[in-house]
Amino acid sequence: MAYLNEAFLDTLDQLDLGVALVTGDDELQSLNRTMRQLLLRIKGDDLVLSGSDLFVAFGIPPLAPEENQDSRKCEPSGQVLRVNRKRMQVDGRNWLLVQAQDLTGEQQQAKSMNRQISDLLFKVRSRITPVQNAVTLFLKYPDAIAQREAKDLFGISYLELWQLERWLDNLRDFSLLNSGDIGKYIQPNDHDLKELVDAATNSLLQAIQTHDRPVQIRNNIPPDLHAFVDRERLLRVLEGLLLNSVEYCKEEPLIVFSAQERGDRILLSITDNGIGINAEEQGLVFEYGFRAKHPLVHNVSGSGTDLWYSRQILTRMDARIEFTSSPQGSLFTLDVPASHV
Amino acid sequence: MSATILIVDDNHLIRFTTSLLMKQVGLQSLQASSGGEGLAMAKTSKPDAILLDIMMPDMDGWEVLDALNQDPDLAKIPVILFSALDQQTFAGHDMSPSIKTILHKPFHLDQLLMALRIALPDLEV
Repeated sequence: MAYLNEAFLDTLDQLDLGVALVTGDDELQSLNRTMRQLLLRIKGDDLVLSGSDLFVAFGIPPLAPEENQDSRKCEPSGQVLRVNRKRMQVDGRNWLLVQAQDLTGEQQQAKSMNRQISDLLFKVRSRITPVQNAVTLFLKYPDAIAQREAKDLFGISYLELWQLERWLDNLRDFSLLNSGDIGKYIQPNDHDLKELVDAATNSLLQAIQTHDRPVQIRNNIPPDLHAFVDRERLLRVLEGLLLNSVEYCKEEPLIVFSAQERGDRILLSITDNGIGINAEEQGLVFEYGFRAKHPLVHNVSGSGTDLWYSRQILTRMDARIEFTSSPQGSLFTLDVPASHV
Repeated sequence: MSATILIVDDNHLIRFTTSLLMKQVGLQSLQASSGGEGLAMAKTSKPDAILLDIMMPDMDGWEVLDALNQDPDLAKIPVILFSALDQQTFAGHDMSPSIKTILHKPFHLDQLLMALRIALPDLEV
């Protein structure tokens, strides 16, 4: 402790930086609390007597005699550490300062983000394929495309591009959710809920204008009901729910919005006459990558991330989303903060 | 030589637009929306080549390939793997001799025609 005073060690603990001071004779002089916690996670105890013991625990060789410092990444017992070592001379004595930083959480976060990006890129490539085919057909064989086929091809392209735009916006939010920065970007404000649902409905109806079955969307939300929400993000959530209701429906889709105010909250309900989700799968709908085991689901190129995203982003808006389903259809309930501006 | 190509893909938009492209270059196409359906159509229709998606529910492209390879009649049908997966995904898989090439989604018409010519060298497209 002589050369690393308590205040300095506390500061390093607050930075989650593990520190050990080793004498020129390889004797362990001091360890801070973070380093002890790291050792407990790696080897089950914090009993180390020398620098060599420490390096065995980390699974790295001693610092080579000709080196004055090094920096290594190591993975002892499933932990990911960055270990920096530096020789020093203080009051004519030789010391080795060892710093260790736990990167396990960061690595897991990076892996999770990589997986999300990779999954979404797969879906984006799949979505682009029919659009690219459609464009090729129009450019190369404009006279060979029948009017009916042309309408279908334009419809496909519009819907795919609409969905791609939504996924790219979601991808930006995935990144912000992972980095913990999403709170800085969410901008809740006073919005008329009926108008917001109309905007989502119009956006969807435009995207599915060549849909082969008529789609009915009823907005039964009372006028002058105001929610305190991030408009852009709630719109994207509603558009995703609407598209699910249309795509996962065997009949002519019928979607009904209703809402009621309860104190400082608004309960927004969305019911549909879609295929619903089996009771045993209902608890999984908000899990990342969930896709229901229904043949109709696999005819649609979904991302399996829309509902996961919806719950994540609504939680950050002080809102909640719940789901129930029966063979007659699904009910999503959004509990959002009311605005009394 | 003209040819009939079996498109096996669970995404109906990809099947629809790819079959339209094939029609424009003088090819006939059959469409199957799942691995199981594709296998059954391969048995009954004996297509000249199969455009086979990898990521499909229930029976994926690799399982379809295994089943094709176990049937001496079907093992001879050239297969073009058809996927939006990253290239490295294919590295860990044994490539059976029936796989002639891999067509990555999204693709250009030239890439589709090149893949078909590799699978069917006598094809005139």
